Amino acid sequence: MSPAAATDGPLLSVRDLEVRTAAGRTLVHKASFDLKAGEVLGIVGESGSGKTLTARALVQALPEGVVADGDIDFDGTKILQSSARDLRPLRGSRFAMVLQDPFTALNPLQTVHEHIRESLDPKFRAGRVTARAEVERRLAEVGLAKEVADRYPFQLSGGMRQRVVIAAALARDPQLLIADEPTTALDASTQAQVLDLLRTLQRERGMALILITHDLRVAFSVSDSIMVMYSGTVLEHAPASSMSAAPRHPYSLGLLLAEPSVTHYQDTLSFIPGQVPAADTVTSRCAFADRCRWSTPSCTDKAPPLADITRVEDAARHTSACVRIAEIGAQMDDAMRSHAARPGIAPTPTTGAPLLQVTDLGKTYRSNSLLGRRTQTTVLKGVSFTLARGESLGLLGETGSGKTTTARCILGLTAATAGSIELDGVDITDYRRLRGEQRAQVRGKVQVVFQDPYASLNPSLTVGAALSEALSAGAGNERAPSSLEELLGLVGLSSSYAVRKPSALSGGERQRVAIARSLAVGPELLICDEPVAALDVSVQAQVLELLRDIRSRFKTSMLFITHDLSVARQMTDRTLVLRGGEVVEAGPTAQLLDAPEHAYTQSLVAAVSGHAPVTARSDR
Amino acid sequence: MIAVFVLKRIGAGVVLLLVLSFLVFSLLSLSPGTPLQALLGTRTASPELIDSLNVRYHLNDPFVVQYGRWLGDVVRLDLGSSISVQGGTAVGDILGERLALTAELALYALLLVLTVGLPLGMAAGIRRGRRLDRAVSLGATMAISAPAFVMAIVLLYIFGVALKWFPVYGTGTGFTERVSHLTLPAVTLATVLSAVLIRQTRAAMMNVMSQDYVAFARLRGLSPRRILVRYALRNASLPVITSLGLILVSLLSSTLFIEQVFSLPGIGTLLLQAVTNTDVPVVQGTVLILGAAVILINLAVDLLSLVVDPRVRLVAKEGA
Ligand SMILES: Nc1ncnc2c1ncn2[C@@H]1O[C@H](COP(=O)(O)OP(=O)(O)OP(=O)(O)O)[C@@H](O)[C@H]1O
Ligand code: SF4
Ligand SMILES: [Mg+2]
Repeated sequence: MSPAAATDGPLLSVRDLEVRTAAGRTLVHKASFDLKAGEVLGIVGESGSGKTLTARALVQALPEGVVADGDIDFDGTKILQSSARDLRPLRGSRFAMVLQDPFTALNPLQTVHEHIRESLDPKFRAGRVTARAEVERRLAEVGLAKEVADRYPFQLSGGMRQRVVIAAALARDPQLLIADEPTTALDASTQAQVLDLLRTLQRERGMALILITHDLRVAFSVSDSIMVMYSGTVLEHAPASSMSAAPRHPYSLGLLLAEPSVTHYQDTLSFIPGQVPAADTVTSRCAFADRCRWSTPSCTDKAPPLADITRVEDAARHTSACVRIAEIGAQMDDAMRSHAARPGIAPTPTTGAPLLQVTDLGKTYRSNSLLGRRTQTTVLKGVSFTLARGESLGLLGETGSGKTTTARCILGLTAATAGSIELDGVDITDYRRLRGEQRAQVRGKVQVVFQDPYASLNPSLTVGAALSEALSAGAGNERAPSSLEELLGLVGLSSSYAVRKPSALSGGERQRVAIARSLAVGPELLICDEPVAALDVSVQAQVLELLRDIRSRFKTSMLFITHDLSVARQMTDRTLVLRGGEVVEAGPTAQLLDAPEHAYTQSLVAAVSGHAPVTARSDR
Repeated sequence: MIAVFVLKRIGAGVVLLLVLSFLVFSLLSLSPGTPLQALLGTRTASPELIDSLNVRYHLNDPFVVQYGRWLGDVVRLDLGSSISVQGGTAVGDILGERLALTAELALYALLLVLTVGLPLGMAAGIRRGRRLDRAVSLGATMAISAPAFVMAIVLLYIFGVALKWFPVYGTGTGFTERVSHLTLPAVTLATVLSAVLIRQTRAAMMNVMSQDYVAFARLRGLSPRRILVRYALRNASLPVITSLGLILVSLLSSTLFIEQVFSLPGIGTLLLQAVTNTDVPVVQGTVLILGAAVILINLAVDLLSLVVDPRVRLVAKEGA
């Protein structure tokens, strides 16, 4: 037992933490919080809000060129004032950290056994037999079989790797574990299992946990208290139950409302307009003022302090950095209530003539290994569906389920090995067989929006140049917008954006430009491949609204590829569930999500509603 | 299994050697004049000599048969005898003599590269941006941009002519003398090669040190020593090993060149002599030996990466 746990004082106490670049630019401003032994703190906030830097500062693991200042007291140790040499004995044994990406966190040349053994306390590490037994015990604790010990990281799935990472981080039984987005890189159902594991381990060990995530649902399901960060500042810190029921900061409220619902259709998806400002521009005012509808001059006079607003219904201390919270609290409660009480009515699915007909689609990759032995991987098998004009069809499934391959076949980026694809009466199964003009026609009818707007835009072209190029390709099509202004207007951007380069745009803006580019030719079918997966919640809703708007205006058919059930709920009429390259279930989206029939769909639905069965560990 | 994989690699090497031998053999018919003229060289065409050459090279048989017989001889290490370089001496004997010197030079240079170049590159990668890194990188850039012969001449002048630390030409007898004679050429060679290798190891090291797994190892409180050896050095060695084949082959070709500059009677000098004098059997023998060396080097590098990288090992296991 640590002295802190015995006296019930905080295990970790952070006061006025400042993180700056070496050049003096503020990245995190005056972050203060406490964490008791055995408690779970969730840190949420949009990308760039300073979550990772805060967490890394706590264990003196900041990237090069970034320095921290302030007081961090971990069970009597002043972290920031300690030397690297003094801290090393504490690493792993008193506090540990798990990084976001399990695919890069393990040494590719070492077996799982070696990873865990080297992390163990010297008293277990020494003897061969003792070490072996201890490693097995540790693996069992994270739900892995002992055979896994002799495997190399590249032989494991993402979920298994993250389990190994967790086992290695916990090998010396630290009192505090910091997990920075530990599941973001994993599949939806694997995410739920790994979170479950973290939660279980935390409880069994009575270990304190700091969980960083941009997913509010995840934060609520695991944490005792939640800290909301924005632009390098802490805006609200509240018990999880209070935060989810009655947030006390307009930004927290905005985040909660922006989360698309998985249980019901929403007529309008709410979002927070505007953009996150740079941390060093808002150190002396309310960081959220530019985007807050309650903003008054009093908000920007000086930086609002993180004030104690604990009420009787709060299970623990509750602080908020909104100066007007006493006045606007009631309005915020109203917004929460009306959000919860108003399930929208999903528009009745359009049943036009079929536009796209996919029949028995199959795709098998043959690869000749370097030794001449042939291997076959079937990624699609007997996939059939029809997409009507104006309809939106969802393709739901995990990584490797064949969603993207289906899209690539339709786009002619890869050739199917079986079955046929017909678009508007033209057989497009093999693009190579199309005549030149036919191919151009097909390309004008199908367009795609990819997940990563960073990768899909040419960084050296201005927005105007990229879009003009696309517009000229669509010239002659009456569905296509006629001018650059009109096109930019379609995606809600002013014409001043034309002169910017992608590097000068935010993630959401880039995705808008990417959407604009695909709209330039006036497509009849828009394939959206995880269009919002790389975006923050507040921006996600904005982009989804835009896509809805486009669909209702142009009657564009959509093929919506996603792993996110709430996105499927909000954006599609019908949904196909793909698993291992096969369709396991298909039906109207609402019906499919409300009463899933196939066991796999059921497990997906269960995973998001936070009722994942603890025992279902498919990746073991 | 791995044994099968290795055997397959060796088999592929043998096939390559066969192709090479065929090309080498074709040299004879490709050289100006008839094969007989080529084999005669500047010697007077006495009937006995013509007869013996006809018998030795089966010149009256069809081409393929000629090749088969020649190959048979080669396998028995009989490469014929020199025409003009060392008239009458068996090519095998000439090669044996010259090869020893070239091999000594190459090994000496390799030793220097591995003990000086490689560690410098690694150290520069670890201490990125510090004084050591800057000095090493500057040196490497200079060495890369200076043509090898300029460097050779500068070294020759400074240490040979001006300071008289090392002999300027000749091979010396006995171990110490040999070493002192080979030092300047070996240093020149090693400098040229290290320049490339230093850049590579430095980049590999920097890349590895910025990897998540190194960060995670530190976060677990592993000892700096373990992180350096098991994490950094091992992982950084992978890209270096992959390029090692290329480096070793360029070591070989630079050796041929450096021999000229320092007038060392190695394989390189021999090859040049043989080509200028159109001594076909010697050219054939030299090219075959060099080709075999290149193939062997690549085989060795393949096997080395098999030892170091479990991913390659698994592919080998499953693939065979
Ligand atoms: N090494 C660095 N040097 C300079 N600025 C940095 C560095 N690392 C991060 N930043 C900046 O600090 C800010 C906060 O970054 P941080 O990584 O903490 O955000 P985050 O909340 O973890 O975001 P995400 O959800 O994307 O992981 C960002 O504006 C980022 O650009
Ligand atoms: S302080 Fe003002 S601007 Fe800031 S969140 Fe509160 S009301 Fe909005
Ligand atoms: Mg982060």
